[in-house]
Amino acid sequence: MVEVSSQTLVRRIELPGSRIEDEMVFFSQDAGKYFATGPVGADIWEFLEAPHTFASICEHLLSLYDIDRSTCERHVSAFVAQMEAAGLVSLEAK
Amino acid sequence: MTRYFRHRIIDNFLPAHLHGDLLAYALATREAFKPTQIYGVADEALQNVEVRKSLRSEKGLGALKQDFKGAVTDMLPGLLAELAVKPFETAGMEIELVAHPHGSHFRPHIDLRTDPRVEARTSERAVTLVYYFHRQPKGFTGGEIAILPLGPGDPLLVEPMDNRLVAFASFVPHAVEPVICHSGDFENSRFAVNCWVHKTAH
Repeated sequence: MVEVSSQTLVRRIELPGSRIEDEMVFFSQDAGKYFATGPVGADIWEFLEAPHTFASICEHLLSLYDIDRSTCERHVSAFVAQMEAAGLVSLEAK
Repeated sequence: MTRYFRHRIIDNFLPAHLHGDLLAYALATREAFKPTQIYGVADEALQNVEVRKSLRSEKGLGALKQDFKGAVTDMLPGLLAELAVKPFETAGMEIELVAHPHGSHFRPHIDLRTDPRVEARTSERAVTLVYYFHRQPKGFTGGEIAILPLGPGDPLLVEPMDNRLVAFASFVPHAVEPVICHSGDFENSRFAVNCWVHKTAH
């Protein structure tokens, strides 16, 4: 988990990837591995077409899914940490 | 359910006259076809018939190159959308002419170079296009492109039909199934134009 609430998430779009059915799959040349987002992750990825804050992402998902806020924030935080570790997003100060 | 990266097949890709010119050119330049190579450690080109066995023309497409590039350029915007690849400005194309006589194959691979020791490039492969063509009647079997699944499952085989183009993102794992050509004649090879559309590297 990372503390990202005060930061803006920005896509690193140079990783090659494409949508397969309901999720995004990326290939990291550095790691030599594929990364799959899962359906909710694909929604986050598409939402990050423009940079957004953690809070903004949660609000977006709360509008899409029937889920309580704390659960949403916990999952988004974990997912963002994975995306950052995979080099798919970077965190920038607002 | 087995899942695959997106790909697109276009039959009758080239107009008949260009398809005919390409086949005539390939058959007339047989002496230019030499064993293909692969990129190994530190991007060193090497020959390894256990991994890839086929022939590559040292002359390339010659005067037909511009016509082929034009045909690809015309359909590229729509193709990117169908492959679910984010649109990009084309930074160039690599094109090679290859022949797959009896025993040719290419083991599973991707078309991106991944060795971190290789210095950064100004552009990278983004989309792979393979254009099949051959003499009629078809003198071989096999030679399908095998698009590997995402996870467990069997590969998806694309038959190398005459005047057919198959396209997919260059990071998609794929292979070429062994070619069986009982006559052993070069003229009965599975011919192909391999084309990689580049985008600017970041």
